[in-house]
Amino acid sequence: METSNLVEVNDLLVRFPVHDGKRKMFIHPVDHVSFSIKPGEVLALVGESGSGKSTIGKALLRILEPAHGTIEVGGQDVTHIKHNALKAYRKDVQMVFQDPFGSLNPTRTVEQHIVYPLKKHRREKFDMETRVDELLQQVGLTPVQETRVKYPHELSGGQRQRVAIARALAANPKFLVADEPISMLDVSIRAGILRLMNQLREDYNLAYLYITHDLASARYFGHRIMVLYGGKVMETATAEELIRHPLHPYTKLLLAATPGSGIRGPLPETSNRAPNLLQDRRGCPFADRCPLVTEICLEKTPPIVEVATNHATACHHIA
Amino acid sequence: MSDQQPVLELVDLSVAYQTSSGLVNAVNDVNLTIFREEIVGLVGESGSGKSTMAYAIMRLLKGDAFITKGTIRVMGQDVYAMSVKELRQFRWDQMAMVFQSAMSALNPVMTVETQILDTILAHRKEWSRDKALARACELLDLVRIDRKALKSYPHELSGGMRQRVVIAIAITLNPGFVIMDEPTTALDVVVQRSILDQIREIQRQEKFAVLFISHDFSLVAEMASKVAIMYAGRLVEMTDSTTLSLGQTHHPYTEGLLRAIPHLTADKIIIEGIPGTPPNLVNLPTGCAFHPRCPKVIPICKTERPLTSTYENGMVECHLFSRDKEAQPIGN
Repeated sequence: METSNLVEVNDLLVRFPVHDGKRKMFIHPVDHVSFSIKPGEVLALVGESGSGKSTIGKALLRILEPAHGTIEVGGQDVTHIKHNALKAYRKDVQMVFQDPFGSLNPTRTVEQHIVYPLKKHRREKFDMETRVDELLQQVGLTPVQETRVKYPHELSGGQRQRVAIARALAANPKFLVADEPISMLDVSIRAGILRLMNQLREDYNLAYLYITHDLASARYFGHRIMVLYGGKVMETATAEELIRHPLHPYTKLLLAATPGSGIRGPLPETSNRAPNLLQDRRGCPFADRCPLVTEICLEKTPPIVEVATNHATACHHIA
Repeated sequence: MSDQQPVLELVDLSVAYQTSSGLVNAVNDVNLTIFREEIVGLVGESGSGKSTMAYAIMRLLKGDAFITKGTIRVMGQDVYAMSVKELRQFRWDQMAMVFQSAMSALNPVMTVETQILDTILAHRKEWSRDKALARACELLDLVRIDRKALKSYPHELSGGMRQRVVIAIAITLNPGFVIMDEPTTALDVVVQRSILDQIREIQRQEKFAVLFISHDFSLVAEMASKVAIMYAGRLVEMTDSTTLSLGQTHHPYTEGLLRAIPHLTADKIIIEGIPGTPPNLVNLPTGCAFHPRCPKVIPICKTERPLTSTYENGMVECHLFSRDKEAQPIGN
């Protein structure tokens, strides 16, 4: 693995306006988040709905423009690029969406889905026909001649997700954002898609931001896991370390809740309230559910501190 | 467990859809018995017929679907022998269902209170509104939602709360049997876990039987005492859920499903999918429907449908198992 970072995100802040009666307020779904990804590395982003994981993905693709902080990809600052620069940037980053039923156009064939980005992001001369064949073969949609002319409704969920991956690969990206790519698929199909993504990573030295709420698949596919809650990073470590030695109370809660954890009994949480995302919130976002909560948690936001090599956590109660 | 009184009895149940390309058999010769206070899991891929079976039990099949064969008995009564009026009382009073999508199971323009009261008052005509309201409050306490939620519309609640409301409505009238069709599929892990814990707790308190439908093995294994595995409309295996983690031999499809789950804590993290895709029900493979995807396929699988071999705690439908049986000297 190379040492220089492919993606570097620094102090990222995304905000959305909300209307609270007459006052105009903002919520911060992503609140000062920093991380980096090396070429060929998979960073798994884990958290529940509303934790800001998809918003980070969208900011990286620059579907959203950050309010603060910087995003650098391949040495280029892409935080506020526009127009042609943005178009060129999208050759390097692509996205695989959660819902393969919604992300494909029902009136277009598989071939049309793949030809479109090929034309749009063409870098050099190549034969369109052979390139489509190659891509379909790579994602395991064989026999190619048969699949090319099919419409999405003729494919199963797993096959559709493979088309979505082939389409993302068509631009020849260096970096893929995969937003819950397997959560809508049958259990028996999931393993195949994860294996395919892993194969592509090896073949092209692709880097991934793998967004999921499932720690088990994050451990399987991710090199590192970053746990998010209420827009803030709670804990980050190598996949193995995070599962074996979780430190943050929220990580422990997630682990206890994951099926197959073997942990029985009541969950280590004190309420099931959703986190407050408003701009003027104070303290730790997890405070009102945390079993370890003390005064300081409600007052001061805990800084993220490296407690061991490659293992950092944001909690007042872990020294 | 009191085994005397079956709550649900399916005998040779077959359900078909009439389509332009002919009859499609979505459920085939299913035999299943659930006793009082039992939780039975039903696992299978999408399109395996799980939901069709659930709808058949509730007598909710619509349009082109109909029962071609077999009987369904709930609490000892034949569901399809009832008059419409009897059925209307029987449903929800004796058997209820938690539907897959909480958003579409609730009426978006009615408050939670109205929806719960509607259910109660339709079945308990002699009840006063106050008594019904007291029951509604009791139900919300049971699923641990603030009573304030009574005045809310579904869109004001989070996904987890909505699902809790749907569960509350299902158990409103103390039914003896509840079908739960993927009750937590769209939810976060933490919410999912707390809802499942709650279902188990309420089930112990209110003592109803559950048919728990899911495609996630790891969930079912934790919830249910017995697990039925469905493939292409047939029950291919029925087993105690305790046997699922011990690496015992199972139907190759069950083994495939077990291998497909990434284990959170296991040392080796190799997961394998099942190759291929579920079969098209219009055009089922000959012999055993699983043979094109089966890693242990033998010649007979392609031509003959395996017979059901029953044993102490379950059944399995596979040639590998029926051959074992032949190998053992049976009398003679």
